[in-house]
Amino acid sequence: MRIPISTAIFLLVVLFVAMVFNLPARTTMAGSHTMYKFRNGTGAGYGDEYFCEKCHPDVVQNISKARAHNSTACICHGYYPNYTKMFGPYGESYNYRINVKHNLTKDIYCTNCHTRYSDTSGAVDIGNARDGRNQSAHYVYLNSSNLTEIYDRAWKYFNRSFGPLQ
Amino acid sequence: MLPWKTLLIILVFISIIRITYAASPDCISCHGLGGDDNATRVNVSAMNQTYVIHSYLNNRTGQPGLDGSSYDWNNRRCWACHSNTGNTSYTIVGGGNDHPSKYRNPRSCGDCHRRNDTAGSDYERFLIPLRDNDGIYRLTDDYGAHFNLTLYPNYTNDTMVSARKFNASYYNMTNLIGALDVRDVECVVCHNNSIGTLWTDVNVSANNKSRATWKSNVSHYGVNVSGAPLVGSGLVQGTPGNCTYCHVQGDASVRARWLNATQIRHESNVSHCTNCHGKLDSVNTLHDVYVTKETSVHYAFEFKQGVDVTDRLASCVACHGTNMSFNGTQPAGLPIKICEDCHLPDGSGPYTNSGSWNLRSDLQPWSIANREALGIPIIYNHVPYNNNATLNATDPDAIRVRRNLSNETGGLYQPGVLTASSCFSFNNATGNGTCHGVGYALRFNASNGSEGFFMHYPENDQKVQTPRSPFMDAYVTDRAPNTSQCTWCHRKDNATQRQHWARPIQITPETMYGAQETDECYNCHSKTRNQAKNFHVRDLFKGIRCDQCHFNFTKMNASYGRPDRWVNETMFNSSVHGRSGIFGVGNVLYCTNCHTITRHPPSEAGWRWCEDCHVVPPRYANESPNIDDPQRHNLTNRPQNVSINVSGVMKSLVNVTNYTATQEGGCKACHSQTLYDNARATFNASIDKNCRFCHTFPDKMPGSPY
Repeated sequence: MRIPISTAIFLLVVLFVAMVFNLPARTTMAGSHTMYKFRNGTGAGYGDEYFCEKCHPDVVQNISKARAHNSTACICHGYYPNYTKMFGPYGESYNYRINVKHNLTKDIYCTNCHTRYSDTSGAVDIGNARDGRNQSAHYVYLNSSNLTEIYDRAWKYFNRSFGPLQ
Repeated sequence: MLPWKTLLIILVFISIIRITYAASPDCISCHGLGGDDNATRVNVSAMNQTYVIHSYLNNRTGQPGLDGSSYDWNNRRCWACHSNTGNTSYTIVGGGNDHPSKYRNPRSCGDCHRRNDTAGSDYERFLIPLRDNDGIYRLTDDYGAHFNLTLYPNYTNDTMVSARKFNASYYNMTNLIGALDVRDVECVVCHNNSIGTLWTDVNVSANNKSRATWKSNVSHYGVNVSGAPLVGSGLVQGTPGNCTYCHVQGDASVRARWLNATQIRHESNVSHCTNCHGKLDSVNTLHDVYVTKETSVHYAFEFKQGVDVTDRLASCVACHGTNMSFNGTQPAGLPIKICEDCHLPDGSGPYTNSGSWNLRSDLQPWSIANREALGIPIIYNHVPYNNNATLNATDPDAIRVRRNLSNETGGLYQPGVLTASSCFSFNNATGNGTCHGVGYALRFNASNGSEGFFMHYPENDQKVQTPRSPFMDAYVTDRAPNTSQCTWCHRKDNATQRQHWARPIQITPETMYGAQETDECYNCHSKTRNQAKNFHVRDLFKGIRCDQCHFNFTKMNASYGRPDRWVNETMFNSSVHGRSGIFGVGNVLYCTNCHTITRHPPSEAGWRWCEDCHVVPPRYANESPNIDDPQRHNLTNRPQNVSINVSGVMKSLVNVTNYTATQEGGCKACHSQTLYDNARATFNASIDKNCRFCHTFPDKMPGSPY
């Protein structure tokens, strides 16, 4: 049996429309995850945890109870949609979302965000023309008292605006 | 072809010849290299070398043309040691065809080379090279430092007797010396080192050990001081500086070859060994009567400059002056000179203007340089000044010590009375004291007989419960525990014994930043990072902290060539872990909180990473860690306030991951010891595969964009 071309086109259009309207995602992440839908959470700070919770409820539950990172959501993996609500580098508000890169990672250093790397080179200038990246744990400055700077470092890290971290 | 009967007759004839083969004074005809195949063999040519110690042995006997011998003159050496008792000439072979009585048990070293034997005519036939004061050649004098102690089994006035007794198994020479006369064993130990290639040629290359003269190699082939290899050691007349060839510092393997020669651990300028060890510049051999061994700390020190002979009386004047008193009291204005006067860097020295004694004017003004030039020990460390803190009436067990310098009169050894010197302080009431002042008996008892070191002389006076005068009767530093045993004093749970040693600071692995053994002490307490020569040297420090080097860019860059290991002190202090951090002053993290193993450089196995403290591990209901759950999403910025259940005990995360004395902390607190050990057996620092070889950092992972 042969399906008329018009019928075939119609069925394809119906199928496409059904897919678009049934899948919450708009694009596909470059990493291992498929992004179903960008949720611009209304809850301050951690609204987007609920997005990850769909598949990782235990982890999200865990991090929600975490003492140090309970408001960071999944930023260590490169995902923090609400970042646009915060000030970016140099005190300016950037219309930039970390997860635009969609390159979720498990390669995580604490010092990626908590050490003050150079804005331009990524090095940790400790004087005497020395780069302290190989001992960055000695120079952990950033904690909950300066969240803006932490997110600044996170932005630089995931934006790869400087070279490899150590 | 011969008929079988003829062949049988020939064989029987040959056998009869073999059975009736006569021994003869012509020893070498059979025992030389060209002699009988079944005879023990010696290399006559090698024995004739002029540098072989017995090359001229017995050369007044049997010389052809002089006393009628018709035998090869080389036999004279055989006759000397293998002849019948009382004979040393070619007449040795008794009647018939017998070998001499000493055929298999020849005369040994001590039969000729020892003192107190009556030198008979037989001995005069030998050219024994060492002559005693009466003109008779013998080995040595009773007081010679290198004489064979086993020749004098009753000689006990020397603490080193037992140490010098030869241990055949230690030297692995049992097969070589066999049933050799025990008196000769010690001779063999040193002189066997002089055999050199002669031994090889005769016994090893021949590949027939059954015919080799294993037990007599020294007698046959030992070389004298003019021959190799001893000539290289400088063991010749007038070169006392070569004392260190045997008594070398540190190298146990060298000392072992020379009868475990005493290790020199006192400051020494070897050109001045004569100060305490006799007139070494005039001795003939190491066995000379003038080679003396010190018996106590000041026994032979030559205070009287320019006088050739050692006179112990000089020591008296040095400390007491010419107006000396022997009851402990001194005339006004003439206090006894004490240890500190001569041995502390700022000491004033001994009396120098004592009538005609003319005490060591060359040492004026008693400078450090002058003293070091003469090898007079200067005490830089382990002076118990700090015990002054316990000097009060409310502490009856306090050690009555203080650093007394000149012009401070000392007292008698009475309870509550300060002793003259902090070096030998002693409290009769408590039995406590400092290193040079407590008798052996007390320390021996305190350690239940297992660890009794002592600095007080004499050894045989173990029952003495009160100290003698350590000025005269104390051992030198070499007899004390050496610096390979820091923990012998500083990690001693027996409080009583510690008191006997001036209450050394009791250290624990925690206070040692995780260090467990003495060799780890050197990293922070020795300038050279190596074992110090003794406890008193300048190189020792109370402690060196990491920041003294690692916060100093010049040191790390120029001195050590490791600028990458420099840490910016200002930046560190302003970090969250520094002094200005979130913990505030007093909660600062120290280097060793993260670099928990103090071997230098600290092993990565002992490093603590962020998550070691800041991750709150998944836990079961009883708060014990669930090590099967790998997630690390629960983080804390105050790990000291988070506890987990480790073997029934709630411990904070910080304490769990810290390295402790029993190693109950660290990874193995929760994870499998067996798996950890298995991993370390394969991957470890010795093959340059540290933790990060397996537990790689993100930027080291394959395909990582970082």
